[in-house]
Amino acid sequence: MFYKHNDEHVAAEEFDGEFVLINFARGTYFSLRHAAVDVWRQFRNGADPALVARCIRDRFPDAGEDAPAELKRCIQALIDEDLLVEAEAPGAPVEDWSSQVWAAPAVEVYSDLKDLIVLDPVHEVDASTGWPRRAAGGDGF
Amino acid sequence: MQLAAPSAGAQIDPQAAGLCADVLESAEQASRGSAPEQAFRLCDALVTLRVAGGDFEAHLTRALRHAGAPPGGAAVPALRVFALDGRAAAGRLPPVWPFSYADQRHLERLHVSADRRVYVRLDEDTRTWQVFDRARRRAAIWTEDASRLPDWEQSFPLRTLLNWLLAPSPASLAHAAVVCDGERGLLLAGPGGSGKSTTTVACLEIGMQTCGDDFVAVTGGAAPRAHALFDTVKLDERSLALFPHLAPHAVGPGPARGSKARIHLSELCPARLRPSCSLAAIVVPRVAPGEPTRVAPLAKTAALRALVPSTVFLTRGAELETAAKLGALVRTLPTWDLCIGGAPDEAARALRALLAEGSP
Repeated sequence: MFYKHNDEHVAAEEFDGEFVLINFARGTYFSLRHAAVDVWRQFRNGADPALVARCIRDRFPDAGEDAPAELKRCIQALIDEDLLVEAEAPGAPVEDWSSQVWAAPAVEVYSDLKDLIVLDPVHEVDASTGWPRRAAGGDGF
Repeated sequence: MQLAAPSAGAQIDPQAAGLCADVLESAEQASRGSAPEQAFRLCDALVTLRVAGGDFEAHLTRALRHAGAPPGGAAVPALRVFALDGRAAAGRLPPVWPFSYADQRHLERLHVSADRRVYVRLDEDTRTWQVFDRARRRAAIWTEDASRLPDWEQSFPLRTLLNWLLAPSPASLAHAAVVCDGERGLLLAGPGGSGKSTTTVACLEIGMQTCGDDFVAVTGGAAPRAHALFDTVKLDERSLALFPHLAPHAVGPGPARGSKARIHLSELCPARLRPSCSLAAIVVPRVAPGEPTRVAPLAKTAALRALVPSTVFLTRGAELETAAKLGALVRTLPTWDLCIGGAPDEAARALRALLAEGSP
C-alpha cells in the first residue's frame, strides 16, 4: 500500500528544519522534527512506508537498533492522524534531505483547538457534479 | 504551499445552486422593503448591507460603523449582503439542510462548491444560513430569530462572508490583535487568555492605536499590512478589573453572565482605531506572573502555531488559502515572544519600544 500527503485537508509549512502541519478536518495540528521531517518529505509524491523506513535507515547506518521501530511508529502516527492518505501508486523519490545526523523522529500533536471544530465539512463530492450528494431520504425544503 | 485553484470546468449541482439562489432571493426580497442599504469599506473592499429586521440590523452593523462609506456611489460593491431575520419575514423560515451529514454531533454545516464559487453554511443551533455566490457578488444571511443569536457574534459581524470574499485575494482574516504607534504596527497572535486584548487596551492607555483586538485582515507581500474590520475590544472579568474606567462603556451581557464585556472603540475613542497600518513584526504574548516583562526572539514555528491553526479553525471554508497566506506572513516578518510578567502597561511600553527600535 502506498501513501501520500493529505493535500485536501492538511496544510504544511516548514521553517528551520521543523514542519508545522494543520489538519483542518480534525482540528489538530502537529510539529514534526528531526527524522520525522525526512519521513514527511519522502511521502510528498506518494511512497511505500516500508521503503521509506528502509531508505532512511540506509542513510543513517549508525542510527541504532531502536531506529526501525521509531520510524515505524512515526509513519503509523502520520497515517493514524490522516496526515497521509492512500495513494494509487508511488511517485518519484524525493531527493532533498533535512537531517545530516540521525535524531529520532519527533511528532508532537496539539489538540488544544479541537473544540473549535463544530463544523460538519462534508466532502462527499460527486465526480460529475462537484457537489456533495443529497442525503438519501432527506426531506429537503 | 500551493493555493487551491478554482476548477474552471467544475459543474455545480443544480440542487445546491438552487438552494443558494433561493436563500439569496428570499433575503434580498425581504430586505428590499426595509431599511436602506448601508455601505462599508472593509480591507479596501466595498461591501453593502441591507437588513430586514431592526434588531438584526443593530446586531450586524454596530461593530462596522467605523468603516461606514457613502451609500449609492459609483463604485461597484465587491459584495452585496442581504440579511433577513425570520421574525421580519411574516414567519417564513430558512430551509432545512438537504445534504448528508458527516457527523450528527456537529452544530454547523458547510459546503463549498468545487469551483469555489458558492459557499453554504448552516448553524443548526440558531438556524442561521449564510450563502455566498462569488460570481454574482451576493451573499445572504437568513436567521430564524435574530434575538437568539449569541451576543459575542456582534464582535465580528459578517466574519464568515468576509473570509469567503477574501479567499482568492492577497488578503486574509487573521485571529489576532494589532497594536500600532502611528503607521507601524505589531500583530499579536495567540489563543484566548494569552493577553492579546489586555495588552491591546494597555497600548491604547499609553497613547497607541489598534486595528482590532480579535480579528483583523492582513495583506502580505514585501510590505505586509493590517486592516481594521471590527471596532470591538473584548475583556473578561479579570481584564476589565484592570481598566475599571472602561466598565461604563461595556455592552453585552458581560462577565457577570459568563460573557466578555464588549467595548466599541469607534464610540469610545474613534481616533485610536486605525483603518490600517504596516506590520513590523508578529508578537506572541503569554502571561507569566512573577517573571520580568520582556520581548525575546521567537521561533517562526511557534509564531505559526499561535496564528494559523486558530485562524483557520475559526474561519472555515478557505483553510488552504488562509494557511498559505498567513504562513507567508510569518516567513516575512520578525517573530517575537512577549512575556507578560507584570502590569499590562509594562507590556505596552515594551511593544512601543520594539516598534521604535526594531528589536528589544
